[in-house]
Amino acid sequence: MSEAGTAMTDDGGDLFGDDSVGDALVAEYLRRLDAAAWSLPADRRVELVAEIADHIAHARATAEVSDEASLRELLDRLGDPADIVAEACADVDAVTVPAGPGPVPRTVRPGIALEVSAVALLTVGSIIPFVGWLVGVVLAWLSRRFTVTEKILLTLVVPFGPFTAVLLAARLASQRCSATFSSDAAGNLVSGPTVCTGFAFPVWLGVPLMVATVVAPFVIGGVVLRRARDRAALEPAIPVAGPPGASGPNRWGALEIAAVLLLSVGGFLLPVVGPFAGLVCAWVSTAWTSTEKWVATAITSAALVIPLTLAVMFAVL
Amino acid sequence: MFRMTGLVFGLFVLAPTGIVAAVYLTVRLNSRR
Repeated sequence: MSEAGTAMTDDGGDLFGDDSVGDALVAEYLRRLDAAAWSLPADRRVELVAEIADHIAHARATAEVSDEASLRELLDRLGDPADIVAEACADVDAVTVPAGPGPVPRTVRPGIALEVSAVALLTVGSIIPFVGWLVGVVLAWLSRRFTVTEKILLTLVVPFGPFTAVLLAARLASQRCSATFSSDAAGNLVSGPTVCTGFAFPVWLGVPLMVATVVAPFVIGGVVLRRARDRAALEPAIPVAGPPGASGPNRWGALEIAAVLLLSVGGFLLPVVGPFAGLVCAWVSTAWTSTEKWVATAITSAALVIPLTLAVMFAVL
Repeated sequence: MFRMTGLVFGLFVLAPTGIVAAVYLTVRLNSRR
């Protein structure tokens, strides 16, 4: 500290005289806060950043913050921007999670299981013709971590997925050629013109096209998954503590993924048993409320109602 | 005949409703903060 009351840098320069370093520190802190608050509603995000900016400005206007050290101390007291956002999130959800004094809630990092499931079904899942890919498209469009461009790319890179597309190509682009033979006057066998029916790409085009069809969805899936993972890393940690009976943690665990996969594509691999196992997984999981489990059970059980209704209709008519 | 009916029922009736249930559960879980 100099005699004039301004902070000095290590090499003795005037640090706080024009507040440029202080302004930069505050601007950087508010920038990090704004970036961390991206998942909040837009108005709450602006409000939160303005509140913190006002608080800092007020402290700097008074004698409370007079140099760089005290400013850093103030920012430390405010805490990590991600923690401020997590607290703001808890306030938004105050209806379901009452705030109050108590232990700091346990938090988990947001996972990308939904995005991984979507890409897995869009690539490997296309082994189950049409359905695997279709469920992958639905999951991809449900994701909040893929941009619209990425969703369109995932959907259109290879319609119906790599394996179904190759299967379709093998069926449609089949060519049959047959040669005709005849005998000349001396009795020798003479080959006639070869007649081909159907359509096929020449080898130099067909082989690379097929390789690209199989490889491209995996490459694009990997790229968008990486970007989704980076976006998830910027999201605030999710508090998992809550009162008993409240909605469970927002967490895609192995049980939740198994429930959704078994309910969606399980029926095509293991008729009847697959969806039933999916319902069992859903009921064992704590991620859904009882109401949600009952609704899912009712939807799946509608399959039992349809044939019964048809049978009754036939019996009556 | 019975096996065929079970297969048709499983594939064309139970599987599509299972997909609807799976989408419903996904939406509910994904919409939570």
